[in-house]
Amino acid sequence: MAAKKILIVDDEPDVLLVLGKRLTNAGYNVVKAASGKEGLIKAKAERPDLIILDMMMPGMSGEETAQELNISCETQSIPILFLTALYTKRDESTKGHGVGGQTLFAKPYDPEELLAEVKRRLA
Amino acid sequence: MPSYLSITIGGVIITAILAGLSWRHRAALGGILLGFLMSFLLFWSATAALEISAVGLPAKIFWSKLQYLGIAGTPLFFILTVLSFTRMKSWLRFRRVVWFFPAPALVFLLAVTNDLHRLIWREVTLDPQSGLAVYHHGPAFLAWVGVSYLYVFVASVLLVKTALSDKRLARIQAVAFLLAVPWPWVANGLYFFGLTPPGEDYTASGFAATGLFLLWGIYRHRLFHLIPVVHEAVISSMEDGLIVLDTGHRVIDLNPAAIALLRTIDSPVASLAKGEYMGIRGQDVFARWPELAGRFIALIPAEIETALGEGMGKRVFQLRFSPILDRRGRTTSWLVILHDITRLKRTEENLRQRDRLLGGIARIANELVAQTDLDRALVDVLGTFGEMTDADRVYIYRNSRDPKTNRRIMSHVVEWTRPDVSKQIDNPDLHNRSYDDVPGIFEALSQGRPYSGIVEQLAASLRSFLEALAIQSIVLVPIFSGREFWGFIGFDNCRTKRAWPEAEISLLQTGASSIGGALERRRIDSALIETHALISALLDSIPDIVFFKDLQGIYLGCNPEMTRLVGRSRDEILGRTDDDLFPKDTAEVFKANDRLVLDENIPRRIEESLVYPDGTRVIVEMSKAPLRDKRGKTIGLLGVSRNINERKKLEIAKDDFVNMVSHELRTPLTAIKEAITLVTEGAAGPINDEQLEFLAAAKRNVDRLARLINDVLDLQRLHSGRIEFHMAPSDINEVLRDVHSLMLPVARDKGVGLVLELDPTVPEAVIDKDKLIQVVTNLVHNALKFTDAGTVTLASAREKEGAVRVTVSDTGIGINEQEIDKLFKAFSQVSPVARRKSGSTGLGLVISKEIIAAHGGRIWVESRPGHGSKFHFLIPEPARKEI
Repeated sequence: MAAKKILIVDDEPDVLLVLGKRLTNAGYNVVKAASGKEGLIKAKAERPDLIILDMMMPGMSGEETAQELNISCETQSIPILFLTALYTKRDESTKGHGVGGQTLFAKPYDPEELLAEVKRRLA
Repeated sequence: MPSYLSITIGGVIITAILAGLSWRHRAALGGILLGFLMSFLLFWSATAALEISAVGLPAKIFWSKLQYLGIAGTPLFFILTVLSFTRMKSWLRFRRVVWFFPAPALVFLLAVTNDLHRLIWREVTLDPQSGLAVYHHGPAFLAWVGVSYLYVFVASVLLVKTALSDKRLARIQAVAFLLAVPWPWVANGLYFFGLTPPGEDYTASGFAATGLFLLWGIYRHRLFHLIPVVHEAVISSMEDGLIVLDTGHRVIDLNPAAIALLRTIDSPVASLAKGEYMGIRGQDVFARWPELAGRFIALIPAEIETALGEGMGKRVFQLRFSPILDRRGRTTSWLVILHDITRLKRTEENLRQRDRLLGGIARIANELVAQTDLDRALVDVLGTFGEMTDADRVYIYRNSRDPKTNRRIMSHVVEWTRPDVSKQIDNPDLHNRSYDDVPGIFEALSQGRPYSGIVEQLAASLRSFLEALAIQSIVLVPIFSGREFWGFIGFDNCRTKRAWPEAEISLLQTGASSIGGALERRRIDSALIETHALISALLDSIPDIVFFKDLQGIYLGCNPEMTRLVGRSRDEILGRTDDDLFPKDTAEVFKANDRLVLDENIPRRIEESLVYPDGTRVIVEMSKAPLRDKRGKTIGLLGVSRNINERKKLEIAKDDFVNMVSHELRTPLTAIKEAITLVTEGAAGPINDEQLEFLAAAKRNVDRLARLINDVLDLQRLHSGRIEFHMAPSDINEVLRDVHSLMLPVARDKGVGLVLELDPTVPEAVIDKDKLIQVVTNLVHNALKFTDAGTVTLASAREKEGAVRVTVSDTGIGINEQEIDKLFKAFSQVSPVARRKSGSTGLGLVISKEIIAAHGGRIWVESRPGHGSKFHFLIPEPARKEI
């Protein structure tokens, strides 16, 4: 069984680096994108099993990216985990539905929690 | 003997006529009883005549017996008639009258039954010469004579008394009666004592004399005409003058009142006595009044009103000329009634004057109320005063003080005069005149009393002063403005010495108080205008929007900033509503906010977004408050807006800044934390224990920094109200149970007990459960942090008025007083040492306080160093929550 593919979209190269390392170490096939636009292209090209999307990015924001992903029939079924530095964890319940009911992780995230959620989504 | 018979028969005829007359006049005083009396007399004299003319002793005795009916009845009805005539009504009751009856009845009975006992007469013989029956009387007859004389005596006494005391015609009637009565008894006495020829009893004949006197009474003095008697008495005592003229215009009668009236009016014939008027022509009596004299010449039925006499004797009469007709409708004479209506006229005139005054006073009050220019109104008012009174000059004086001497002075300020009366307004003597020159006036007027008088009766100093102005009588009425004696209004009469009636003066006082009221109002008005000007200037210069509306939302007032918002002039705004002035959506919002304020009847601050006509959007904090009248009744709504645009912009900028900062801080933290974790986990190759220890320290501090940033962000959001609360009815005990199970592992790790003490009766509260869990968790977290041994207790309790209290108590180090004060303030955690030890941000309690405040509750702490701490918060019953 091939390893699951995860697309990480974040404008912070350091986050891409460490998060990519963590997911690779956890046995996932990681694809990285440094902007929303790139994320959309890679999503279509790579057809990942899960997308981890930073919400606040220059240019196309995470929200806009998610909307685009939702529109396209090739990508709309891919689950998304959001990362955000704008909201605290306590905002989740109230803000979550604003981005299509997807799970929101406040930065800095707890690596174990994130991994657990990834595992759950890909099960 | 024949003369005896003819005298008797004459008596019969006379008594018969009298009886008939009596019956005809039975309506008169004592008329019926007189009728009975006459009837009995008639019977007596008739039977006497029959006895005389009867042949043979038995026949004579028969008539004689019948005769006794008359003999017995006559004294009886005589006394009764007299009692009635003399108005001894109280005696004419059956209970008393009945005692008069037995004696006459007994006499008649004895006379009829004389043959059996002979008590009336012992024997009867025929006088051989005259052929008359001669009676030898018995004891009963003598007794009866005694009784009947007694009756007559009493009646005569009463008549004499009446004759002496009664008036005029009634007295003459009594005298006539008195003269008429005794003759039968005189005659009887002659007979009784044997002074008449044997057998000749003139008793009945005495009735001829009685009758004659009565006839004299009837014809000369209207014996039975008691109603005419009364009429005449009334006429002579009438106050109206009555003059009767014959068809030849000559006076044939007049009553005393008429004579008195003619004297009063000084008629040319006033010196005449009553009798001397007879035959004088009516037109001569009133010769001095040609018009009236003409009436007496013309003599047609008429009713006229005329004034007669001069000066004090001047009287107003209503004269009625009416013809007196006989049965065939021919005029036999004329009756002229002089009805003195002087007093009526005077009363009428007084009433009219009072009406005129009252009307004037009402008009004056109106003029003063409607006035906009008081000085001009006063001129009109004086004119009205002048028209409604007889005054020749009306004026107002105003008080002041002499600037040099400080004496009270008065000045003539307004005047009204009749056209032919001299004006005094420009008289220099009447300006700044001291009250000392007119003694007595200040004393009266300043105490609110009017001053009035006829000039020639006044004190010399005042008199000369007023006479110089040709004033004959004067009234001064004080004018008070509020409590201050402001001046007075005066009324001069220059042609008459008018004594002003008190009623009129009191009306003048009413008028003066109207003037005082107007003066007072002008004073208040000018004060109001000043206040008004101040308020207007204030409103106009306020840069905020100010407006007020009535309960229907109609604008009643606004300031220039409001006109800028609406883009219309003030006149266009006033009288309109939000619907007229704003787009529909905006108007609905405004109206909803207005309703909120008016329904709850408390002021509110509401954030409203306003768009100016140039498109500028402004956020305002609108204070809307119910507008109340003096009695606290809500009559409208007052709105004052404050432009909070700048504040809002600042808030937004602050939010943006905080968001940006937190984002910029958290993103690098994410990378740092993940990197450290990865290295710690050995993902980048093996590391030794020392490296691990340093990495753990780095991770701990990264976590702490992340928490701090989260707390700052939370607090910011709570402050700006941008965190939504999801309120729902929940059981607070459940919150405590959740926190308990969450924190139990932490407590166990620390070796501290965590105890739940729940009150099962706590009511359900409306709360945001997640946020309360955050609060309680924070409290328990803190408690555990500062407690090294013992227990932390989580308790709930029902408070009064449906509130719930949650208490988190510990057996920890406790907090001293100064620190308690700082506890709920941002970045003021108890001590740097404790902070370091706890690794907390110090914002937990501040955030908790905000959350509890959002629930309408409060949070507080009880603590002493070394004795542990008790943190409480109270969640009120939903309905009692403060808004």
